[in-house]
Amino acid sequence: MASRRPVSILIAALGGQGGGVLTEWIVGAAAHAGYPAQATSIPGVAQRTGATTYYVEVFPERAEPGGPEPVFSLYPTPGDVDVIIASELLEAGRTIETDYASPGRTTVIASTHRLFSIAEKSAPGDGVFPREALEAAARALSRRFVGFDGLALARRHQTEVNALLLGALAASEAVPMTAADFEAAIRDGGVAVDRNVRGLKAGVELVAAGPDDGEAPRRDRPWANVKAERASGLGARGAAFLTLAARAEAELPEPLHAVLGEALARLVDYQDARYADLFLERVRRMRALQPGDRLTRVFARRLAVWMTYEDAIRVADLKTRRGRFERIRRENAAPEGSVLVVTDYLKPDLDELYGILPAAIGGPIARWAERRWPDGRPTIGQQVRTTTVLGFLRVWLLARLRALRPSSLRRQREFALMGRWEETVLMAAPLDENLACEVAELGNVVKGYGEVRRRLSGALARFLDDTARPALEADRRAGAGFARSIDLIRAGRLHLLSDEKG
Amino acid sequence: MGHGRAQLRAPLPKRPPAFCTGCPERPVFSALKIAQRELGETHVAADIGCHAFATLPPFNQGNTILGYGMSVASASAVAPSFDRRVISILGDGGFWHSGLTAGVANAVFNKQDSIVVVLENFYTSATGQQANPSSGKNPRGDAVSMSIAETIRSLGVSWIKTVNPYRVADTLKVIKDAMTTATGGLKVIIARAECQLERQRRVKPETAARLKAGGRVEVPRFGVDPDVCTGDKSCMRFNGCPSLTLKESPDPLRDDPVAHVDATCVGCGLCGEVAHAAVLCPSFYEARVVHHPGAWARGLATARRRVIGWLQPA
Repeated sequence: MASRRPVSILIAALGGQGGGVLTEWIVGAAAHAGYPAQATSIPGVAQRTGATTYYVEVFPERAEPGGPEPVFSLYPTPGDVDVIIASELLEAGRTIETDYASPGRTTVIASTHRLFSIAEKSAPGDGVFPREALEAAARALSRRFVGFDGLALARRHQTEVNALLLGALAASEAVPMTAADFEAAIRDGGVAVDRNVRGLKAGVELVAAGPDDGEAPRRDRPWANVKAERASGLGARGAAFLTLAARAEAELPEPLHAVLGEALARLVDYQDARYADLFLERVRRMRALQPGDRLTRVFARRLAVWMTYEDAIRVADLKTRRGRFERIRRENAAPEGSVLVVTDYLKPDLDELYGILPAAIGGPIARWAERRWPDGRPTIGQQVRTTTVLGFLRVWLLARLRALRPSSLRRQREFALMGRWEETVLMAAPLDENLACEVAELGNVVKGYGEVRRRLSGALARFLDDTARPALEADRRAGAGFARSIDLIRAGRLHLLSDEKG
Repeated sequence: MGHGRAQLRAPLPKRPPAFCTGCPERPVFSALKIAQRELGETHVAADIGCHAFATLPPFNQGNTILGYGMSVASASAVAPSFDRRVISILGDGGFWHSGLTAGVANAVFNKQDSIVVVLENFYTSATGQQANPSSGKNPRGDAVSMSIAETIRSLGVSWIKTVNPYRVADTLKVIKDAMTTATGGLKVIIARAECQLERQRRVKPETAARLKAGGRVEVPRFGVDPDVCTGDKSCMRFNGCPSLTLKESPDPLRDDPVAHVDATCVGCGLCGEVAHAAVLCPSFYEARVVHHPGAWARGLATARRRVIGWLQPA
């Protein structure tokens, strides 16, 4: 007996995600099987969505009355854990990061779905921690890794993630209790018994069925199919789009067809074929200076998104489309016979309204408004019921003003800054492809609406004139490559996007 | 030691605890953050309770925590050294525990010109929804009615405003008024709404039962139009709701993820209110599914859809 050690189980979870219940089930199952067990938790974070852990030790021999009692530990020790159960992938990673898993010993059972942390959610650009790194680390530093998308499976089996994890634990044979013991623990708990037993069984089957290859990796559909779909989505303007796409395909190599085609479809949808042609012209000019596909791709994507800047007309258009209401119905699983009421939170500020006007009229108003309200413009807040006829009409009519766009003040202003950005890319293009790509990426800085967009636009204009161009010039004169400019411009872009105040 | 870190290459993002989905305290800190963005930052004395989570990202509101119910007392100590009014946060638990005497009464006695925000959510929630004098009943279930507003008024405070925290624009206006008014003395803002955790425990089974019986049920949930969202993430910085998350952009030309409201949303409306109050973007909408709406409402909806359908190309 002296040589036996407890089986140690570390449970990593988010407060409110069922880690506490999972712990109770394990302890309950141990009691049912007659094994002494002890569990500890960190109080105060239940239901609070923060990272939390629970720790269980189960002694794998049945207690004898009057016999010696095992001594349990309150805390897990790095490298000394038999089983790690994680209700979410980042939390599995956290136990790996802190070295609780050991390759010779630990079974890691984890749901591979992600719930993003606030840092990931508010990071500029794509701040999500790479999932591949988490899974690879869990595999490399465990004896066995059992991973499955618990959230998707729970939805499919109408159960909970923690019940699935419990089933996987039962089937892993890493603990002395059997599935029958776990089921008894669920029944003793008496809460949502059917739902949880269903999850337990599904979890057992999941492990018995062997490693899952995961969902089929997402394959990009062939561009020809997507193109046909885009053309039919454009209705009467579909033919014009196809003509433009054919021209782009004749001029430029195959790897660029999908990006250029998507861009053209977007521009035709946004305005018309002439507008899309303007885009193609600018792509050609860039390509003449730097024939690399990489620059053409980055520049085309950023330019297309910028040229289709979200003015009030665009927003109104997107908000009144048939497909949008169908999507909302689907996402909310609105059953047959139910009524869907959609309320849109619209609050254009003055800039966005006089932006629609022709520059000759909007310009003086803008100058006056900028003097009158130097920081922040007044807004017209509206909560519009777009599922009522009058509410819908209000937004729909705004979307009909597309003809005003080419002469609008907003277009003049967007194109002015876009032009400054494009000039800088054109400066960089003949010098160095990496440098030009980095400058082209700056096109991604201007986003958002109202004050956010104004702030980012102003910051980009200053960055281009005061930092990017001088740095580029300095590197060119020094003649020792552009590594410095590239680093500076990349750092600048991330800084511009992350700064709350600009 | 250190194998894990080496294998993962970069440190993992932290996951601090946060307010529950639909919590009535979160919108108060959204408003407080917007107010400070507009008027400049000031000292915020936090307290013990769920609202202490506001000291963490994304709000980062709260410079000190002294003890349970001690925020106003601690703010009294530092207020004279600030050129702006300082703000103290108190939960109803903290208020009744000691905030009333050590904090509010002391501040009135010393004629302190500052602001107290009381979050009245009817339970001592952080430790598990224990009853307190704001709950309406004591732990034995006897009805008790004790009012924070009346209690404070009886001490001689006249600037007392009660707000519905879910109306962020209203709360924001009241906070800005409190910061800028010429009226001296203590200004008390009471943000009153039931703890959402407790509310959901009550409402969920009721709703399920009504649905099953074929009764009329409205289920509100918020959403983001993924083609209107530009992925600037400014909404995240004023919100932090667990149900407001990210998803891959459906747009083949963008690579940054867009905001997304997942199925755990309880429809409190904060995301729309914040987008409105902070003038962020037009991406948010409320989708309210009316189950078993009745013949008249169903007919009206069908007629509306038909008329709207005429204006929408297929």
